[in-house]
Amino acid sequence: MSVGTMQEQEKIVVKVVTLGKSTQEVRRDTPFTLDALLKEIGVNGGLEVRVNGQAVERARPLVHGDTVLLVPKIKGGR
Amino acid sequence: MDFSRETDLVDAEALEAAVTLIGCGGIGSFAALALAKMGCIHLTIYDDDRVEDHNIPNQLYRPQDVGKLKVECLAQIIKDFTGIAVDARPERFQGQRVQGVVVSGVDSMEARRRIWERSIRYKAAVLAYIDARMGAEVARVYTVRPADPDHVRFYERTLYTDDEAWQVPCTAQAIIYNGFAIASLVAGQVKRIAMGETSNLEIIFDQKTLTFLAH
Repeated sequence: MSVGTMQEQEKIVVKVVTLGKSTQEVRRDTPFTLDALLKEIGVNGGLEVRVNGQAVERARPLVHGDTVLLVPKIKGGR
Repeated sequence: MDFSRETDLVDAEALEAAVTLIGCGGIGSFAALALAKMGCIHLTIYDDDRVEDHNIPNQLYRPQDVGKLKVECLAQIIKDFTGIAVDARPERFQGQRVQGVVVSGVDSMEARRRIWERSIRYKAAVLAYIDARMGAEVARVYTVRPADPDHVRFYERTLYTDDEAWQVPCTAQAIIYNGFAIASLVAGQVKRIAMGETSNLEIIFDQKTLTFLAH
């Protein structure tokens, strides 16, 4: 295995899905929390946050392979 | 109607319970047709709105329906497509007594809270309450049993206010395929309830990112 591949494997890769908008991957070399991620990508009101489908505390550390869902608080229908 | 193609999927007798649909717009118009086609023969629909031009691309209505009451047009469309006569109520739902399965497809959280508090919460006659929400290409469908305290607590946590809700521009509120998708999810939940199967408390679906979450 090459050094480059090993370094790639050590990265923490988190998938961020903003429903109704886009999907992106966030890569970091060091551990980070959900709260830090949300601040970094500028999440404000109107969205609920799930990690791997579950509502979690914002202090939760994110681990490699997590999927963060940003779910709009929609209200329409009629 | 000959239901022979679905008899192994749903029992026609199980669908004879009352189903009430509140709101006949982007969700309710398609859901009503899906429910009637599936075999819900005791269907009551509430809405005091009239069909407008901008409803034609994303609701079930026809150009000739513009200006007419939605419930009257929808009742006629359902009659034409299924032969079923629905009970059409051209009035705003304001705490009327309901029973069986109740489906809400209204357009504000305030209306949802009012329906919930006045007609659904802890009402033993309401077997199940399905609250469907849409915005842009996203859908959220909640299915709860109003007599179950755990379900009541769960559902009430989902009742954010209109101010907290995602402010979708008028030009991105609805597109027809999302209405079809939500109607499909609603009909599936009604079938599960009717058949005594486990229904999902929450379904979240997004056409844009093709995300589906159910639990």
